[in-house]
Amino acid sequence: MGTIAETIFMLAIRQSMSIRRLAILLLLAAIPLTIAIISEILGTDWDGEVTQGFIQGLIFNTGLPLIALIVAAPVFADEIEDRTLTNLMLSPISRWQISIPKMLAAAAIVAVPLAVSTFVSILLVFDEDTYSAAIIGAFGIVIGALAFTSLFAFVGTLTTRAVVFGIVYVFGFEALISTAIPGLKYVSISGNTLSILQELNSNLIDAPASGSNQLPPIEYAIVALLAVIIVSNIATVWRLKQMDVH
Amino acid sequence: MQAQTEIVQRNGNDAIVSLDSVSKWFGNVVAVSDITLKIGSGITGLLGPNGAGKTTLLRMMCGLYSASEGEVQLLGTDPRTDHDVYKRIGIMTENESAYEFMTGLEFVRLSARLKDLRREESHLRQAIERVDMSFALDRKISTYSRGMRQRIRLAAALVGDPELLILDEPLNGADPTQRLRFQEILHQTADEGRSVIISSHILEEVEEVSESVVLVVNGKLAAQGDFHAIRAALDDRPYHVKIECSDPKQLGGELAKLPAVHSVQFDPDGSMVVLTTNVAVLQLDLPALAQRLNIRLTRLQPIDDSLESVFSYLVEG
Repeated sequence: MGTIAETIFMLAIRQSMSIRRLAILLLLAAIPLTIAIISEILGTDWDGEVTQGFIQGLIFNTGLPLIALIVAAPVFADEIEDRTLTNLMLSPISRWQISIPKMLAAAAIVAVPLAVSTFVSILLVFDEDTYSAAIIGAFGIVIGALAFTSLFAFVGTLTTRAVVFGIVYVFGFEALISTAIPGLKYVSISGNTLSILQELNSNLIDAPASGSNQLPPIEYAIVALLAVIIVSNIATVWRLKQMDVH
Repeated sequence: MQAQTEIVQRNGNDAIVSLDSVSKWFGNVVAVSDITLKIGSGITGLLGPNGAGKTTLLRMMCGLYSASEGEVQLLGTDPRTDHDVYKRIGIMTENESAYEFMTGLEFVRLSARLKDLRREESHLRQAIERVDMSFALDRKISTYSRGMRQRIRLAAALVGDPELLILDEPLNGADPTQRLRFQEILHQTADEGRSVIISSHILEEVEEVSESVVLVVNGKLAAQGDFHAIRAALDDRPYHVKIECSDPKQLGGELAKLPAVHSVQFDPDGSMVVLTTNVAVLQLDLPALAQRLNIRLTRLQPIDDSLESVFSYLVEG
């Protein structure tokens, strides 16, 4: 990255590091780790269904999108509301030089604590092929973070109420509807992320071959996630070009 | 050296800002209506009452707003598509759009980095020194007063010695000393061969710094040109002055004989309204007349001296 991209990346990191937001982020990221540590202390024996519920339901269907929402939605929405976006928009840089570093900064803030938490949690609760599973789990967080932050950052350019939209999306669609209605995993970011992880380690993600929890095929999942990332970022750049900055 | 050459060439030829039939509307509200104008080098004041469309116009010039209709050119290019033009411009918007968590120095440094200027720290400190903010450069902007924020934003706009400064209501929140300093900086900038476009809703504020003005009223171009010619037109306009005194009928009769007085109208509340083309003469003649007639003056109030009425007069021709 060039100097300007680095500057905007670091600016976005600093903007996201308010004490309140950082506390919420770390608290949420620590939930899987806390559960894993407590169960380890108590000597709880995790069966397959509980483990899958922990990894799929808690980490990938709920925790990851929720943290991504909290971090990414304000990336542009706050700048628009605070009217600081003019500082960036009146700079001699392309709009993608604004959007990409901001998205990457948001993805980094989401991914680092949650990937660490996921890595350690899997080490604690998983029985077989532990290190491989933990690394793949952390990798899945990075992929999912990129897709979710791209989407939520774009929504933040459309409305300053992006968090409200995002909460409905996370809890309504990603955590609930997409796990209840067969076929909706195909249009779920979590579902496609889990599909990639299943391909890399079928023990880590053990999804049924049919029913509401059936995951999309790997080829489809890769294309779908790339599409979300690319289309969201193109849409963000387009929006920055079109918008009137107040 | 190259930037200096560009300044000299532009001064000889092109307009800094060129608007061609530009309109801007937000939903059903027309903020700017069919404005065509060219702004040349030097200091230009963009003048108009609150809500006249000055900020919308400036934001279109800067590329922050798209024009609903028409074409905007800034330094010969469209700022909405050619972002490189921002290397040559320093812009200070009306909003207090500084990052609260930064110190003043960090904010000015950010401005330099966003322009890809690899300035030495001393250069940044000079820009801050120029606006008399050295004493607070390491303080967080969240602790600044409104006037201090304005000054640090001006320092950020000055970084890189831009050939054009665009300042939207920069004197808002500034105390008299700061106003004088602002004016000095603007004159220095013009003396260096750079141009300034400054907006204000206060006539005198613009008069002190601008050589030429653009008057905007109700989103339309009301007048443009040399400030003194426009000011002379303002001086010739008729004013309504409300007078209350101990004997309105006698004073009114005598006032009507004065050359500067067009008409006298008596109100039911016992006061009278005098229409004059020369307030200055009336101000001199009235006390002398009242003293001669032994009439006590209790109130003298220009009732249409607001900027809006001045602009209305200009618009109506």
